[in-house]
Amino acid sequence: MTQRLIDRQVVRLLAGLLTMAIVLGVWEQAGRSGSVAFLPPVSEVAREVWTILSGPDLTNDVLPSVGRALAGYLIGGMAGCLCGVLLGYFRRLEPWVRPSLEFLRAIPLPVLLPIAVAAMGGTNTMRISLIVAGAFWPVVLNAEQGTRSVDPRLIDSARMSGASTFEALRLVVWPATLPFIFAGLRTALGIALVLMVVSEMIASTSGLGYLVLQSQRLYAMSQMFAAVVILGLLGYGFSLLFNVVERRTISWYHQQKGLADV
Amino acid sequence: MTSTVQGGVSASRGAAESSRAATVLKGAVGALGLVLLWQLIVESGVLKGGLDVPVWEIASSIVTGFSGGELASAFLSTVQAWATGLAICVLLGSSAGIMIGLSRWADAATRIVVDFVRPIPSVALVPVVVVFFGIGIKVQVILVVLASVWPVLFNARYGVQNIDPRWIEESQLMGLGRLAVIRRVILPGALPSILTGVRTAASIAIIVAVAAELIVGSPGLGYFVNLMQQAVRPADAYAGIVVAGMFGYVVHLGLGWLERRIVGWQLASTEGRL
Amino acid sequence: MSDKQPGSMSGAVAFEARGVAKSYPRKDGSTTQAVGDLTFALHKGEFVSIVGPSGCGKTTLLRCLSGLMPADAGEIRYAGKPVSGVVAGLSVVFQEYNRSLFPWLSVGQNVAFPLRKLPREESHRRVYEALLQVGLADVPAQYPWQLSGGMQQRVSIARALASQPDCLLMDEPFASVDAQTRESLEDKTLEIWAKLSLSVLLVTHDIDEAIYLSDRVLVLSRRPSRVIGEVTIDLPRPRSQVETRAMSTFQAYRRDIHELIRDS
Repeated sequence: MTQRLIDRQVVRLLAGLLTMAIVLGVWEQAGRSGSVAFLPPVSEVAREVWTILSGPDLTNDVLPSVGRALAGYLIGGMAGCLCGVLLGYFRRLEPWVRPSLEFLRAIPLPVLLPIAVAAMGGTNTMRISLIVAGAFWPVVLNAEQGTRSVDPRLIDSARMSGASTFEALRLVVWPATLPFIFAGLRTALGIALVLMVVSEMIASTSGLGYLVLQSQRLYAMSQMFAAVVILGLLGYGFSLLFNVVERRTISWYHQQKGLADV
Repeated sequence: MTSTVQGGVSASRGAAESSRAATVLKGAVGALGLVLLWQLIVESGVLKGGLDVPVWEIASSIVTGFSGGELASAFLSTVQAWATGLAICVLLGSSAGIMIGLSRWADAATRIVVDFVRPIPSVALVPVVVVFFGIGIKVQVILVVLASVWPVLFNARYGVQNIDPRWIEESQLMGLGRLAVIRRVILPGALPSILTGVRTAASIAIIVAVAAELIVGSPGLGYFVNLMQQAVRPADAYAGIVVAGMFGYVVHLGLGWLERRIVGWQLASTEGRL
Repeated sequence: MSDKQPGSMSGAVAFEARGVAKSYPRKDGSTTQAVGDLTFALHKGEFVSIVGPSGCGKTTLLRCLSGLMPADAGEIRYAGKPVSGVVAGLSVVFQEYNRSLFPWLSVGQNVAFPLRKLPREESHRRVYEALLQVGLADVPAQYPWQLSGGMQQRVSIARALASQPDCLLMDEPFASVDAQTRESLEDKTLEIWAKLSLSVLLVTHDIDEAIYLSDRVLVLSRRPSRVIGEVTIDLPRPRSQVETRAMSTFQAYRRDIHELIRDS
């Protein structure tokens, strides 16, 4: 029976790869024949990706982009965790601050870019601040929701075992909220990347976003597609890394859920 | 005994309404606090270069902007792009999501391609789309769709896969054919999940529409704010930002209300199950 | 299994409540009087159960008694001293084990939780002893959700025992398990009570269980609850699931308590 299961999974994997191969094949063909204007063949794009990653562009554009995104993401994420847990634990604040927070969160961050540029110039600080703001919101809201939905019985158990308020926060509320925080961090990852790209397309002379825009302006199609592909790879890589970290930190949550779903 | 119960019910309804009014009031006070905070920041002189615009100037800019000013048309352009893109997302995303959810083969076949396309930050595709489709509202719509279809699709798939299999069994026992099962059981069953996805998609759509306007220069709030800042009209720029925020807030509230109305029963029964 | 004299009211009071009252506000603004005027005493080494109709505020009472919630009126004394906040020497076992055991900690870590301030070796020793008491010495590395319901409840009990309390408060501890597991847990509880000479106060809605386990049964009225009856259980120990429950005196006690509840 298990052999059948493995076979089925292998076949499914092959089906996926096959679809991928078909898509790539069509792309290559369309590019070669020139039937779609401005579309370079996949092979050229792949070559360009390699050029970018093995050349000066790596240190000029790719790594700074990654650095900014990571810095903003981590700072925003940590700030969000802290504020969210505090907001969720001291629930009295909630009805007072909720509408204001929801409004602030609803402001689409790219719209702040012109003002940010005017205030801070086209600097790294400006870009990282924007990413911090973007990563902050999903984390703070999820952390708050998670903290509020911690089963009060768990806190009772802790207090019955002699825990102080601070200990209850550290030993019970924090681990119980972590699954929610991770959900927020996952959303924040996507937002951080989007804001990184946007901030590099406006008032910038370096970065992957800049590279994409610049290539488009110069009609260097392969380079443009290559930069997009690299951005996709970055996004994919980050989310893989995120999954690994999440699995290791809250393995108990997934295993428990897995059992419950059975 | 009965009279106290009845008295209790009407008393409780009155009390519930007054507590809701209290919540709204508290929120309003909090919002006022936010406005005051802004004023404080302005007064403190931290913002330089004409960026310290007091609250009343922003407010008056919004008012004039909407009574026949440029703000109104910019706002409408953004909303139009957003709404069109979102509508397409919902149709495309939910039908694709349901199909993938129902068919293991479709899921497996598309899995790898989707996993590679999805992580590309949608705004990175703005220049690509411009190359193929030029400038104009089409660009924004296409970008909105590219970015926002994913939450709808994945939530639809998740919703379909997590329908209580007993419901499907029972309806099959009652003699429903496959198509009827989809229409009567699977669609309503996946609806709460889809709505959650639409909520996420709606907020992503605003971000992407505005970003596209900024980068490309197509008409809309993004372009408006950029223009105002470059024309050194900071009050108008802030006005655009506030309007964008209010729009997002209203959409969030509205979809939340819709979710609660349409799906209230679903949430209740799920809570019992969990 | 040592013979325990029925009703060891040897004078020393482990726990007492006098005139305890508690009401709490509801979402719609009105208040509910959960506990009206509660007075009783738990003597050292006694096993006392509290029964009452559902919704009579038993859980609220227990939260006040354990110090988790302050009472509105009345006095609660533990070993002669008034209770204000959580009391050392008093442990609580809750009904829903899956809501009181921490899912991110293993069984051993859960049981060790009250012992955070102790040195490692001492804490390890106590955890082992507590798990041995409940018959789970071989699962400390597993996670609670990997165990069955009955085993999880035993872990709860072990955690309550780890801090070596004198007094145990149990809030419908066997309500969430099936009948057979309940019987074995009941006997296990009696075994632990006898061996460790604890004073136990158990809240339950199951009259048979109350009679089976206790020296005395207190009956509560409907909300706002007061003690409307007290039945001393004069059944021989050690108790046996089959024989004790078949005795005619058992049936008589059950009838009495049923009537008390019905008339409330």
